[in-house]
Amino acid sequence: MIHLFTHVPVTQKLVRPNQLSVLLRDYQVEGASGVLWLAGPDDSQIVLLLVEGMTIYLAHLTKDSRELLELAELPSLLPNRANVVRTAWLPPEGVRIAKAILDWDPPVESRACETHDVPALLQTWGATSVSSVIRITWTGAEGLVLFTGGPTPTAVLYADGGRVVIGEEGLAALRAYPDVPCRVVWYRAPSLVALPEAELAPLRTAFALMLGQLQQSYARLVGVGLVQVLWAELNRKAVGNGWHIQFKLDGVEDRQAFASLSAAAGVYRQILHEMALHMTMVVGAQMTEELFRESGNALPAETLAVLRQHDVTWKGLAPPMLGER
Amino acid sequence: MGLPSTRWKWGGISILICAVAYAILAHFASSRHLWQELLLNLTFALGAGWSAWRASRMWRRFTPLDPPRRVWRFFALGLWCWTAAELLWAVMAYFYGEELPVITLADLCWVVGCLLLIASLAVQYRLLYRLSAARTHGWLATAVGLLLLLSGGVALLVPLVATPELSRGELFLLVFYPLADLLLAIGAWHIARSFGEGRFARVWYALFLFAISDTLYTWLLSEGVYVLVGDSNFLTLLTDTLYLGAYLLLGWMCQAQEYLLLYGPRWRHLKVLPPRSLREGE
Repeated sequence: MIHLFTHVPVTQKLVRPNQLSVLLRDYQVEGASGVLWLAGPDDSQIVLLLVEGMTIYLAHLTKDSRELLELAELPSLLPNRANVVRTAWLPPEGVRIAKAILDWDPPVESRACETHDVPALLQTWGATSVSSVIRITWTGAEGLVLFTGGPTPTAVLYADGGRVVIGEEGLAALRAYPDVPCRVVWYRAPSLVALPEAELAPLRTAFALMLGQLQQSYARLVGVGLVQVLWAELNRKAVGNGWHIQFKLDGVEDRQAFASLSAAAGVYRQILHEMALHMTMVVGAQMTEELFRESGNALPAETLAVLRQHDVTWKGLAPPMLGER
Repeated sequence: MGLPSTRWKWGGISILICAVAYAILAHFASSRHLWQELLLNLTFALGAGWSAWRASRMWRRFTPLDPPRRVWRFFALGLWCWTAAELLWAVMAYFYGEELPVITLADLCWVVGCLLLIASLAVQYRLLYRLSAARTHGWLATAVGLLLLLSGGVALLVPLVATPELSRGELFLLVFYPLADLLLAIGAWHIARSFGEGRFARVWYALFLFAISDTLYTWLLSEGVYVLVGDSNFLTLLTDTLYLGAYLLLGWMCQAQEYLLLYGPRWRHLKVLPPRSLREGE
């Protein structure tokens, strides 16, 4: 079984099976970020990662396997009794580290060391071109450092049971830990064969155009300020997911490498759904559908066709169903 | 500066205390003490002023190029006109007492305020249904034209066929106020419904409730039940409290919408304030 944290504070809540969906909806509305654990069948565990209310990862963990799940599959896996939901509330950077560990487990190396060895190990392992997470565990604390193909850490988390510190402060706390024995574990991403840009370009461009149209339509109704708030929300979600996509008023900056077109479509679809959720909360479902329809209609036919071909759609943007006008 | 959810909660508690305090004070106030009446009447000016101030803050959250800015500019200006009307009426009632004329300068402010709020509805309609400028102006001219034509028609024609007790101006307002309230109520309700369960619906629902409370006042006044000056009765007290409550509710919903614009739809769940760059101008 993958163990994510040893010293991050965790809260517990007893939840009945029929209350779980309500709990998740509340977290979605509140924009909560963190890691949730639920007991699955036969001593297994279900782990759920939330970034700003968005479920970015859901998996069923057994002793020696990990199976990714859809949210709809969750109820069938839960025992028909009250379940203890354990939650570690973390900022998006912390969730991103958790996701990296879940994605890259098992570790490629694990060794005993002393605190004074840590800076050199961070420098050596962090210098590799492949993304990785280095976990340092002491008796009373832990530190996790994420590298994404460069020597500078992308995200750092330090926890000592009572507090969680992120970023530069976390790195400083980690380095300042007394010189005592510790264990260092290294998780490394499998090398990704990125899809050639020429293959991805039509979908990437179509998605960027769609976002531009949606921004224009939405700003017309609610003003630029709220669009900026939406982009800030999406940027935090992108950080949590580890996407190299930045949302700005003057256009989306998409530098994410994808392994396949379907992987790219999945990410773009998730972004559209998050936008639709935000818009629904502000202007209602009907108006959101109308905004998507209007934005789709404003796109060139071939651009819309690309989005529909990869199912990067939302109500109003999707092709009409049979019998629907 | 506290979290928006805390500020909003205190806003709600304060307006509830205001409405209850008003009801208690109005119940025990005596018409023989003009200063007590003045204070009670000034409460309406304060309520209207608060909602106008909250609407103005919302208006200023939009950039000059934002199309919705016009909606909230008309909305806030309309409410400021009503604030001026409430203030004028309170002062005149104090000085004139039972000799207060039926039509005063305050009515001019109320009429202009109504027209500005109708303009705000029209601009919101335009944004919602992508109407062209010509079509929006056409609809607005028709609605306002009909409103003025019907009110003016009654004021001009009734004295020709009968000898009413009311002056032409009084006849005009007798028709104008209920029709304007009806127009505001229908428009606000329709816009709120267009936003469905979205948070943008709330201010419009509040305006709808305001129009309803104002209609209740106009109806009781026309039935001779409402006491303008003198010893109050239960229905007068109820109407006045609802009227003040509607003003305060409108302001409270504007406050919620301002936070929505600043912090997004999850503002009530914020544990810490986002960086200053995201809430410029605060």
